[in-house]
Amino acid sequence: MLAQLIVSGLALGSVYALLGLALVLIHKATDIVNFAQGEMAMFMTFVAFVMITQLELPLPLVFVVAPLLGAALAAVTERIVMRPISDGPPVNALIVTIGLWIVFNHTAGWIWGYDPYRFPSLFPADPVEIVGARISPNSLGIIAVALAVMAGLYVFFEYTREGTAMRAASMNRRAAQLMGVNIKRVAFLSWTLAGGVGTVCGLLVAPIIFLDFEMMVSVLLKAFAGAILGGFNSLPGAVIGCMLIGIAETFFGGYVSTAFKDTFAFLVIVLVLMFRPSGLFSRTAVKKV
Amino acid sequence: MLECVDLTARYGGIQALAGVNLTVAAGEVVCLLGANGAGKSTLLGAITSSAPARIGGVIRFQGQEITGWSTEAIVRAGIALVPEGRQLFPELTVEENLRMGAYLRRDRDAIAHDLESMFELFPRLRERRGQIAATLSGGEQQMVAIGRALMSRPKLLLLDEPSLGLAPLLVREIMSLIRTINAKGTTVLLVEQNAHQALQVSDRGYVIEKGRIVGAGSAAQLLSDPQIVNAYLGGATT
Ligand SMILES: Nc1ncnc2c1ncn2[C@@H]1O[C@H](COP(=O)(O)OP(=O)(O)OP(=O)(O)O)[C@@H](O)[C@H]1O
Ligand SMILES: [Mg+2]
Repeated sequence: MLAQLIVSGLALGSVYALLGLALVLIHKATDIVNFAQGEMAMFMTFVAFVMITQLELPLPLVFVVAPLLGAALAAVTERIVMRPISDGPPVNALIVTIGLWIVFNHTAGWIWGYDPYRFPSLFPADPVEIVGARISPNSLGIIAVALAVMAGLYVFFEYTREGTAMRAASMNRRAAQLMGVNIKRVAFLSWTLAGGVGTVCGLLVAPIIFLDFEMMVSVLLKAFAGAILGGFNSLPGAVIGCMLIGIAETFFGGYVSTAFKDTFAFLVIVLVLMFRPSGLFSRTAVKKV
Repeated sequence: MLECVDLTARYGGIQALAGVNLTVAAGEVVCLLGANGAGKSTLLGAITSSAPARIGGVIRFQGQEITGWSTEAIVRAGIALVPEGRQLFPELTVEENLRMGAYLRRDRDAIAHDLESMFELFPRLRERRGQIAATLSGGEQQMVAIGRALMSRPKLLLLDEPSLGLAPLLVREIMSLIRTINAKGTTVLLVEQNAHQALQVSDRGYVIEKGRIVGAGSAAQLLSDPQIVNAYLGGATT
């Protein structure tokens, strides 16, 4: 029971972590919280569903193409919706992302209706015995895909010129500009990356919770809770925070009750904001120079 | 090399520059002296298109008008700024900070070579190349800031109060470093409040007050003009 709960907790946490990463990516680059992140992922998961059911593309191919399209959708959104208001006060941008939430949500409902669909999983569902515990290959698969995405992000940010420039820009925007970094491009790249990563989250979560126009609302809430636990400005922080949320939620559901899962996430958000507003892992006295 | 003609800058209702005329010839070290709030940083911000101010007038660099260019284009053209207060990337390592200075360059081998020469110029940075910038001492941070700007191979280096907050010995070190950099072929515009130190390494100087140039001349002239010394250079010699 314990090993099983931990694995499914980590799988759930991985899903939250992907969306949490998407949120933090954009926030670090632009100081904007993209409330539409979950809905964009939901929208792209429907697009993936069309690719699977109507175009009859093989599932692994869809797992490659859909995130790329998700990245493109986010890129276009940044260009035509966010960029024109990027010089205004951040609260404007925040309100616009709430508007985007509604737009993607309603558009999905209008195109695909309001019924849930069964979304195929890339991995088999029947549990396998691993050292005495019955583990779902689906959980292991989710964790593996999420880890691969995180490893990709890590390499990009640590070892590429563009990735280092994006980190630099999030630490000191003006200094980055003085190095010749184009801040608008950094915002654009962040949205693009976040769009791709968010779509992977949608594809992984849809087989567990069914595909429908509201499937990402509670995922977004958990991703928020995890990202806030991690301080909302750190990619590793968001991953750890979301993993903790996933595990806590699974144990809570396994031992206490499943009825309060979402309440639990909200409770975490409120408590962290009250007592550790810069997150659990923030080093004190790291101020922007 | 650099020419500012009738340069103005406004932050909302505040006029920070009120018609500044200033030139820097290729190969020179020119200093700009003035008290707090005189408009020195704004001038450097205007040249690099990085001040949040409304800019008027004309800025020419190597004969080309660069007024209104993006910061990226200006850096590409060959101007680098060492900003006031260093403005390092606190959580990047020393080496990453230095490499960020070469962000617009694509010549990998030459970048590696320049990184090496930065460590020769600042031996103290070599042993700290993997250290996070936030944990450096003030003097080391200033070295990284200067090295970072040099990594773009600028033709014109702008320095905004590099001696700020440094011990006298380090100030002298930085000032002699400016001569070294200049001797290697980089033109320098140096903003300072530390007038005597700055004039000692400069060919010429300007004095700015409330957004206007109120004095100009060779370093020797400024140092020996009692009126300027008393009014703008704080009187006593240090
Ligand atoms: N971002 C800003 N917004 C509004 N006003 C500003 C801004 N930056 C500078 N100012 C104003 O412009 C004037 C010139 O400032 P500036 O920073 O150029 O002076 P400075 O000569 O560099 O001073 P210091 O020696 O203290 O660095 C000052 O009156 C200052 O208050
Ligand atoms: Mg200044």
